[in-house]
Formats: sequence, C-alpha cells, structure tokens
Amino acid sequence: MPGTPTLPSRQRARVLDTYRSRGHRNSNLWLVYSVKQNQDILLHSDRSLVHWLAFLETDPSVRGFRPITDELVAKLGVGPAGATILERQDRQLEVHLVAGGRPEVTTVETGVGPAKVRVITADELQAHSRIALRWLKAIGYAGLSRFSDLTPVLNQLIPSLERRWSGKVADLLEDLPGFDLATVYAALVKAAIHGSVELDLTSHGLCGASSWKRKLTQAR
Amino acid sequence: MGTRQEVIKDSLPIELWPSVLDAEFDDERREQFRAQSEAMRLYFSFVPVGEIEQRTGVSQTSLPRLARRCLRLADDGRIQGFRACIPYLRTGQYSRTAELSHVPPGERTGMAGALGLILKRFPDIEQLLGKYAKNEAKRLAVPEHKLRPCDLHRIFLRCLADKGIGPTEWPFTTKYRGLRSIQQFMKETLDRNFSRTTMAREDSAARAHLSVGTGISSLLSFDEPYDAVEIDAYKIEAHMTVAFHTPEGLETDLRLDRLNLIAVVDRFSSAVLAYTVVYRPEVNADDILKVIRDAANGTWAPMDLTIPDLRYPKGGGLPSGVIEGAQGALWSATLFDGALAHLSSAVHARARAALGFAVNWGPVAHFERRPNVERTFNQIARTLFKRLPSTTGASPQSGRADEAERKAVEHRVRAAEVEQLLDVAFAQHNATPSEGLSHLTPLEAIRYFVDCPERFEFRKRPAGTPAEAGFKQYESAVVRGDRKAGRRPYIQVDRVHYTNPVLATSGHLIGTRLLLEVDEDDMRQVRAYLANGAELGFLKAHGKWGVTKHSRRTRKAINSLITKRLITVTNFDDPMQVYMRHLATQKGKRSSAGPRPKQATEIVRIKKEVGADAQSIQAPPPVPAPVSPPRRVVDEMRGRLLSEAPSEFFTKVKNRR
Repeated sequence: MPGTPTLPSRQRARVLDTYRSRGHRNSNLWLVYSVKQNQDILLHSDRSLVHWLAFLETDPSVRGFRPITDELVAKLGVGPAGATILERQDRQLEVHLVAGGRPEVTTVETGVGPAKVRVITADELQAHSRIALRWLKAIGYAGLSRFSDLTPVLNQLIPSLERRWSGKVADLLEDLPGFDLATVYAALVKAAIHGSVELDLTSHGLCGASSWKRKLTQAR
Repeated sequence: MGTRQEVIKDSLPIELWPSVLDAEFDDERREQFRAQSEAMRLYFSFVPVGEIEQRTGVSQTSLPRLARRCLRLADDGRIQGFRACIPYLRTGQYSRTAELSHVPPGERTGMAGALGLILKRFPDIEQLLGKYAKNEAKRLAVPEHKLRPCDLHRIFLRCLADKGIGPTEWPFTTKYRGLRSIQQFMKETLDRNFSRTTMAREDSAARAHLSVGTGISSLLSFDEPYDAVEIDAYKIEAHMTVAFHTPEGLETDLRLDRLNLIAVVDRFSSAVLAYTVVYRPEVNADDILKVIRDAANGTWAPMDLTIPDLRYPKGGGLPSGVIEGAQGALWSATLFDGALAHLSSAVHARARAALGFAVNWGPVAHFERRPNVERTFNQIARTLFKRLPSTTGASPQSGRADEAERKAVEHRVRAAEVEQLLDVAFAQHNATPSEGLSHLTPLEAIRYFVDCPERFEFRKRPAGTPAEAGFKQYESAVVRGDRKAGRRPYIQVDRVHYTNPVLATSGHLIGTRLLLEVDEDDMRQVRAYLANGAELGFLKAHGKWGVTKHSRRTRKAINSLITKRLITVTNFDDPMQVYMRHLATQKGKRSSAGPRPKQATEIVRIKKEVGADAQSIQAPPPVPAPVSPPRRVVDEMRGRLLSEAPSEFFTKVKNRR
C-alpha cells in the first residue's frame, strides 16, 4: 500500500500538473514564497504576480488572502486564477478581479461574509509594477531565512525601530552589529510585510540606503 | 444631408483627431489640404458656413459631406480625422457600379472591381472565402493547413458554379478565371487580420514573434542587475571528439555524443553569469542545479588556454571573477522554459529554498519570454559552433556540414579545446558593448550599479553559509546490524554501506531511523542526524566507494550494471575505474575502434566528475588471454570422457561487493 506522499512530492506533482494543465496558454507561471502566508503560491500570469506583490503581500492593510472558491467563480464569471479573496486588518472582505471583466455585482457573498468586489485594471497593475518587482528582491531575503529563527534579530530590531522611528536601513545595521546583513534584511522585510514598518522602494531596490518608517501597528 | 448639430453630435474633439504631415505634398495639394483642414476646424467651431467659404475657399455645400468623411471610421479603428482632408484620398473600398462588359479572352482591360461586384451579389461567398482564408472554416470542412490561394480559388469557382454562374459570366470568361483577384483578396484578408491569421496559419516561431513589438510596454521590467536571470539549455550544434590513447600507444580521436550547454544570463545586463557543458545527450535536473550553484557560489577564473593565439579579451570574463563583490550574488527571479528538468522539485524546491528566488516557467514555445539567453545561444552558435567543420547546423536542411561526424574526427575537433573557445567567447560576450545598454558592456552595466552603493547592493546569503547548504537532499535510513552475528551498525544508501566509529559502536540505534543529509554530487559520505535532530557526524561509504568522488547518478549507473551482472565490483576495486573500464571496452563496429560515442561521452563525464584529466581517454589494458580449459582425457578404446568438465554452476562468477 503506498504511503502518504511527502510534502515535496506533493508540491512537485502540483507544479507539474499546474504547468501541464495550462496547455498552450500564453502566460507565465510563477512560484513564489509568500511571507504573509508563510507558504508557496502559484501565480498564473505576470498580472497575478504584480497584483500579489502590490495589492496583497506588501499591502499592510491586508491580513490574509486565498484563491477564490468555485462557487464564486461561477457567480462572478471569472477564471479562478484571476481572482483572490482577501481579508483586511479591519476584518472586511474584498474580492479582487485581476484585469478581469466588469462584474455586474459590487458585493458578493463569500460564505464567510459579504465581500466588496473590486476590479484591478491593467493600468493599475502597470502603475504598480516597477515598485512591486523591487519587492521580489526584498522577499528573496525573507525567503533565504524562511526556515531560520529570526526571533533574536527581531528582539533587537524592534527596539531599534522604536528608538529611531525612521531613517535609513544602514542605521539599523549599525544598531545590530552582531547579526549578518542578510538576516537583518530578512527580519526587516518580514516586519514590513506584517505592517510594523514601512519600507520605501520607490527609487531603488532594498539596500542600505533605503528609507524606512515605523508604523503604529505591531508585528504579529 | 443633416444639420451641423447632427453631424457634430457626439463627435471626437477636433484636437484629438488623427493629424497629417503635409511636408511631402506638392504646393497645389498642400494648399488644398490646408484649406479643407481649416474649413473643418471652423466648421466644428460653429463658424457660419458662408464665412468658412469666404476664408478657405471650400464650398459651403461640401462642408457637411467633408465633415462626415472626417468622422468616418478608418481601418485602424480610429476616425479618419484630418486624413480625410487629403485631396484625392480614397477612404472607402472601391466598389464597381458598372455592369461587366464582354471582353475577349486574354484582354486585361475593363475588369476592375469584378470580384467586388460578384461578392456584393453573393455576400455569403465572401463570408465563406474569408473563413477559409483565415483558417476559420473548421466547422464547415476538414481544416486544411495553410490554405493556398489556388485552393481558395478552386473553392471560389465551386461556389460560383453552385450559385448558377454560367460560363459566359466573369470569371469564367477570363484566361485565369479570376485567380489573380482571389490571390489579392486572400492577401488583403490575411493582412487585415494579422494577429488572428498568424496564430491560425503560421508556425510556432511566428506565433512567438507575434507577442513582441506590439508597442505596449511589458508589464515586468527588471531595472537592476541580478533582478532576474534566464536559464536555458542548448544542444551544441557541432560534433566533437576526445583524444583516445590506444593500447598500442597511439593517439586517435573518438567522437562524442552531442553535448549540451546550459547558461545563466542576467536579464538586465545580458551578462552570462555561469555556464556548464553537459556531457550527456539530455539535460537533467542535476545539471540545472549545478549551474545554479555555480552562478550562486562559484568564482570564475580564466582557463589555461592551450590553443595558440587564443586569449581572453582585456577585462573580459564572468562577473563572479572580474567584478569585486559579485561573487556569491543572488538573483530575485529565475526564468525557465517548460522543460521537464526545470520543473523538477530539485530546482523549484531545493534551489529555491536555498537561494530564496522566485521561479517562473514561461509558456510552451514562447522563447521570446527569455530573450537574453536565447540571443546569447544564437550568438555563440553563429560565432563558434556553426563555424566548426563538424557543425550540424540548425537542422539537416540548414547549415549542416557534409559528413560532419567524420570531419570531427578528421580535424580533431576536441571538446576540451572547444570548451576553451566557449569560455573565451562568453568572456568576450560580457565585454562587448551593447546598444541596448547605451553602448556599455554587460560587465560595465553591472559595475555601474556596484559603484553606486547608495542605490544598489547585491543580495547574498548570510556570511559563513556553506556553498552546499540548502542544495542537499534529506532522506531517512534505518540503522541495520546484528549483535548476535557481530555485524556492527550501519546504514545503506543506494546499495552501499555507510558507518562511522560512533555509529559502529552504537548498537542501541539498530532498527531506528536516521535523518541523512546527502550531497548527491559527492556520495563518499553522508551526514547523519538522530531522530531528535542531534548530529551523529559524517558516515563514510564502505570500501573504495568512500575514496573516489562520484555522484548519485553514477552510483545508480554502476549499480544497474552490477544488477545486470555486466560488471563485478569487489571491496578492493575502485568502482569508478571498473565502470570506466567497462565503458571503454564497449567497442564500435570496427574491432580496432575505441568506445562508442555514448560510452566515450560517459567516460569524459565520469572523469570530470571525479576531477581527473578529461582531455583524453586511455584504452583499458589488454585482457590476459583466458586460461585454456583442462585437457580432456578421453578413453580412446571406449570413446568416453574420463575427466569430467566442472558443471556450469561452478563456473559462474557471482557478483561480490
């Protein structure tokens, strides 16, 4: 009797199945690590990638997100790959349709409560894409430390954030001399994604010269 | 006619109308165009028509007609705008109104618009022809691949016959029966439906090209080095050889199988970050992992060049070797195609977890999604492989050298030397200015960012992280052993026993599971952990398996041969040597020939794997002549055998480990 498939083998099967089931679809398939959800996510197009980066992962007001259910797919008349249901910090639900059509409804019942329907247009995605892609590098730091315990770094990082309130990333590195740069960046990115600090990537990718600002909400 | 309000109602503001450049018009035409344009500006500003005629000379009665003409939709989906004011410009399709007169066969006059006239008479025929031309007639008939104009013409004539068009009517009265008109009709239909017809009729390369050059900027733009890299494999378009030392002490050349090249190319700068030549006809996940590891941890160093006059360009090389700080730099996204090796869990789980990048798999047959790596391969093929006398070209019909396999041996196109050429070619590629980088070289483009620490720094792994960390395979194994039989504890991985002094004296671990950290590139030892996570140290492979470096793939290949009883490995034999000796004895058709290409390629791969000199292959030492069987003693008187031959069972050689 075959044993229970291991997590890697299930993921392999999932990736293979997902890729093969696409047939000749003309879009990219992305596999990314979500810090917010602490899990791997498959995204079915470049638009979904930018949407995930700009509107879900790095938006501190988003508490969590998941793919749309089959029932909602039928209700909204969109593909499952192009829609996401998300929960805001204030527990409000929202359904995002990524560059999809114009649904006739503005609110939809999701099973756990009513959700506002919002269409993310291609223009919105284009406007956010440059900064969103810079987050890939930042999330890469968090991905490196995915299986590491960052508590010691966070224990020193949070007081440093509290004390300075804003500044450059290099200042934080000075405050944490005993830690490796990659580890401090990973902790900072996690804090930023969870909403306790705001990272400014508008002019360049994450580096010592990047600006940060403390936010009032605490890291969970 | 209608009033001006009716004409102008809901029209596009005149400032947004498509404009016209009249620099190339002659004076008369320009004057007429400007007058009409001005008239339209005034007309849409509600200036009295009398005043417009006075100021521009355009008749007030023609103004509403001209205005409607300006607001008519053009072929590009926009309104005609000021384009409609161009004198003598036809904005609509030519439509013949006159009846077709009888013209003697062979005469070419008086037939203008004949096809349009007949299609106007039978609109369903036009619809049908359009569907056939656009390959949309799948539901009407068995779809024909790339319908030719002459085939469409045949369908056209059949439709006309069905409609009752007689031999005295066009096109039956003409020499070619309307073939030229149908050819033109088909060309116009295909051109007018450019994207649709390309998708329906053309090959995958054309379909891929269709996605680029749309004038719409890409959603994803990577604007810093190491933001994304493209990884792909390329089958080298040339035959190569390896030197073979014969038992007689001579040197000859053996042809290798077709080799593969894998490259990692930076998306922003087009710099080649790492590459590897794969001595196997197909690329697998191990090879992809190797090149990823090289790109992430390796440091490029120039080769010792043995080819006369071959030298590296000044300042050229791979970033990890020539740019300070680039060694160990990681990238944020990896762009693959859909090859099976790229979809393996070793790549998307282990490598991704180790290096923290996102993975992208492009759609099938869309090479344009990874333009840099594809262009680099194309460039290397043009400058190097396709110039070799043994080139295979892109296909048998395109660029293949005659008798390429023979020429590879004749001209001694050796893989080791081609690798040197390849290294120099990549170094040159990275040091060649590119128009796309404002005439900087890829290396200069990366240096530009490196020199600006206030806006860029490389992403790297935490200091002190071993190069292999994260790439290793984790699996479990049961500790075996038997106190009663005196067998000390050990574990078994791929049919080889592993132990160390600690495990060998830990009888209490027999029957428990250990967690193993396996480096599949070096199976001489594995790192073991107890179930509670405590480290047990490195366990060494038994016998010579623990001496010579070898990969898991090689181990499995050797095990397979042992199972088939094609080779025997004792405790005193080096498995690698036995394996290579076996491969070297797999001779080609001629008795004097060395190993076949497949075996020769495998020997070179093994030699590279164990870190030995892979520039030549040594023939195995001659096998000693078999000992002659004991003389048979026959009783000549009675004709019977007195000395019995040993039974077949006792002559069998059993595999020993």
